[in-house]
Amino acid sequence: MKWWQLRKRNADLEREIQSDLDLEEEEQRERNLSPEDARYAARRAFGNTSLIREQTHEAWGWANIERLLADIRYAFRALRKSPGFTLTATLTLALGIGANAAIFSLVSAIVLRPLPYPNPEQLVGLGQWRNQKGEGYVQTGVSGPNILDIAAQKNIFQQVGYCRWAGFNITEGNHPESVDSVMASLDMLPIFGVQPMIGRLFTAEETQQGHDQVAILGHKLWQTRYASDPAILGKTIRLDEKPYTIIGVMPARFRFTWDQEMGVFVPLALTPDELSEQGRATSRDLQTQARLQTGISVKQAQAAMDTLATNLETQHPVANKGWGFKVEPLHAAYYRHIGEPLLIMSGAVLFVLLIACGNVANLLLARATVRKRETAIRAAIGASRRRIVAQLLTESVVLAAVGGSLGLLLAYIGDRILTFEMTHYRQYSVPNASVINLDWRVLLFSLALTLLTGVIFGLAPALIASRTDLNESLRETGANSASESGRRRLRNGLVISEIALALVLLTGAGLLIRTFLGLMQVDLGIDPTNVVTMGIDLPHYKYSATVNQTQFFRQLLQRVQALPGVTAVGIEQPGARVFFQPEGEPVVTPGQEPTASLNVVSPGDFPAMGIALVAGRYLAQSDADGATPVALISATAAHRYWPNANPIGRHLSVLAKVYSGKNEGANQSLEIVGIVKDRRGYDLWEPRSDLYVPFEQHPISFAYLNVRTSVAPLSIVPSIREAVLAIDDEQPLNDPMLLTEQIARTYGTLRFPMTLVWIFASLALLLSAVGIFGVMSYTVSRRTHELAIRMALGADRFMVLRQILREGFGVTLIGVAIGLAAALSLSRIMADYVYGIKATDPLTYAAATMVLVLVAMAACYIPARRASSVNPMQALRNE
Amino acid sequence: MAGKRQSSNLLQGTLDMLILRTLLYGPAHGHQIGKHIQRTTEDFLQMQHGSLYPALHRLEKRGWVTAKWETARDRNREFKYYRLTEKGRKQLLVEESQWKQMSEAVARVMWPAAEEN
Repeated sequence: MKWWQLRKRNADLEREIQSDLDLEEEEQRERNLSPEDARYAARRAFGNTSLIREQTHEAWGWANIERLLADIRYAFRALRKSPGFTLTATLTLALGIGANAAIFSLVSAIVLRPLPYPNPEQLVGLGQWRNQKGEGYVQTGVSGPNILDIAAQKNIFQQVGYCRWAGFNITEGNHPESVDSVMASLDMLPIFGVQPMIGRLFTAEETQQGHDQVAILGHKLWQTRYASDPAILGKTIRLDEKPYTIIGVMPARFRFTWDQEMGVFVPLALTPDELSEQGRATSRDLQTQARLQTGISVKQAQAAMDTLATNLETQHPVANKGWGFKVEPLHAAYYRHIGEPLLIMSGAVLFVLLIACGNVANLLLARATVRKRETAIRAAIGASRRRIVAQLLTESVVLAAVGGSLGLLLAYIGDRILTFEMTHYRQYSVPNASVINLDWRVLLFSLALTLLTGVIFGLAPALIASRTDLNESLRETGANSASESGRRRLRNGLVISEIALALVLLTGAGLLIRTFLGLMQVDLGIDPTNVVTMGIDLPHYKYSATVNQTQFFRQLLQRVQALPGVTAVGIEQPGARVFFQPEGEPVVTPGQEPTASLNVVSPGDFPAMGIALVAGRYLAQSDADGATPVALISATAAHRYWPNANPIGRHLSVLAKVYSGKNEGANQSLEIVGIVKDRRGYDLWEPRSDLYVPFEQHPISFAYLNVRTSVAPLSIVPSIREAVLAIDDEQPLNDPMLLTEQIARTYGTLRFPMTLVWIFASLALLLSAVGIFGVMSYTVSRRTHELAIRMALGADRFMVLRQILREGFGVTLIGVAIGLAAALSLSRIMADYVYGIKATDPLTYAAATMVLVLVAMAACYIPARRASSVNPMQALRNE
Repeated sequence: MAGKRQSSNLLQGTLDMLILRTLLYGPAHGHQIGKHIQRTTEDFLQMQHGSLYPALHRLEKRGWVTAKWETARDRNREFKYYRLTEKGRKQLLVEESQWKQMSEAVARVMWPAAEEN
């Protein structure tokens, strides 16, 4: 028999019993009893029908489930009967469970969902790393020749692929359209175990230079731009004015590197330069991913790579000295940068849930006192303690389930907000952010959390409630008893834990707020007011000669400078990381060379951006091609790498770019002519070591044009556009934006996670305030009698008020002490996320404590005032 | 009350056996089984026949009896008839021999002289 057949089974039993009773009744009537007497006699002969029914149910073996169903029904009835309690408790739990489910959706989308490729556990990311002086651990891509050496380890890797992101424009029709595109090596796509929906992948020949004019389209581009043309193969797509033959279309579900919807894939053919011995040092920008051989673990692969790195260091000391290889699971590599923030978020919401549990447990405790009589009656008519606990626990789990369902609704809303925020600010680079939702993992997690929550907050109150002394409860006197003090201890313990947890969250939020305020006050090193910035990208096909590029920018600067309302104008191409050797300083060990971001600028960029000079001189027009190559360095570069000398007049030689396939600027000796203030913009957290070189000496094809104006900056954009078109009537201007706006966006990305933690901390504060309010109110109501006697004996209202407040204060203080200790021991985790202060910043801790104590005291004040306004006459008469 | 409790406790252990034994005569419904046991023990057990049903359902669950609603031969009405299964027959033998051993053992303690005879 299955338990869902219970209903049928039950009807069957009823019929059976009825039939027996009827028979018996007939027999009794044959003995000449009146119909009524016969019925009673039959019942007597049969026995206690309810008991027999129950015993028969037991015999079926599903009594436990039946009891559970009955308990659940009863629980719902009980909850309906006290809507105030139910509403408070469910909302509290919904907030706690909802916040957890929402954050867990993030964890699920990012960490738990496996990569959408076959055998994802075989996929690894590869990188080169070294311990960089002044910066610590530095990881880069892998250079071309090194990749070939790695791929040769056939017993470790099935395939090793590499790629470069490319920003192609589709140059067909009237409007060039930019398209997300990637240049991929022969093995890059096969690693993901994907085949094109139509057509084919690249051949080995097509990844050689001169044969690489082929392209594979992403599914979406094929749909939107080519209307899903089934005869697309063999047609031509023009990318940056070069024709590419379309050889395939990817399937709709395919995403590159986990979640990237790419428009176009073209072959990545490394140049002879990049494949040469020199390329071993200069092409470390290749994003490298690989598929392990079956049965090879990441650890084994790492060991093999360690050996290989050591060998390569001796064979190619110039390029490889100091460099190691790092192998990590590809999935972990994708989410590495947000793993720890996720953990902190999860911890924060867990705290909120625990506080919510504490509150509901307290509510249940108070409720148990109210329902003491009911429990006692149940016990008196024979319910075992186990039975009572089971029933009370069922009630709390039902409560949790209602709260959990509501929580899921909140989580759904939360997920939508998270998805919007994460995709809106792409700077978060949260992988898989577009698919944050309530998947089965989240649902399972929420279910488990709900059940667990129900047991956690329900168990202690249930155990205590079931331990009733029948005599005392049934008499229902308000007198204190032994069990009362146990309950009080539990209640206080709960509030103390809540306060402690809330304080930990508050200090965390406080640290983040102080960090944010600190970052707001960071000296950006620039003056962003009245500056408009925009991008100019000269197409290679038109400006292939560097002379033309320089010529364009020179003309542009002249024209814009001449516009009315322009006070200063400059261009800059922001930094790529370079390594350099300060000349005259002792030669550092290979692998420990100083590093900096190399910015290519025009002399006017310093006044345009408002970057102040510290020493020496700015760049000048005279620093032209053919003149002595010069550079400015930032203050940080100066005292990091020339700690004991004045760098001005000295030389440095740039060793090689890491993030570039190109070779420009390598091994060039530059004279340092000036030191400028540090600037921050891309990274607010740390001052950067910067090099500035003139564009006349280092031709560039892409730059930001920065214009400082004396009028409203955006009003000048049309005339700048005219100036550009006057030089080249096809050249577009990209994304004109106020510098202040750009900076605001940078802060925006910081603000969101901080806001989240802040919301959680406020919730915690609110919930713990509600908690202490509830406990103090309860205490006061239980002690009305005692307080009334005190007042009757001459205590004045103020004394009563003070006594209650003192009690609340004592509880708060213990919670604060525990919370401070916990926050301090957790501060190490926060150390990476604070700026300008220590993670143990005393001011923050003091402020958080103050806020908490004030809120707690305010929560105590209301019940305390009620206590002090007790009318002794009335209170005592009510007894 | 006390006496009754005693007899029903005794019954609890042996009720299964008594039911199985009764069913050996052929299929019967609950009321018949109850009446039979009452009559045979001359009402000594003072059994309320309602207490049969938990036992009957237990036996059914163990597969010792099967149950089916059937129309009674002598009247136009359906009763739930219990039937002994093969498994039930074996169980009856087991319980019977256990009961015998038990009562013999008890008898040896209670009336040692009689045993010597």
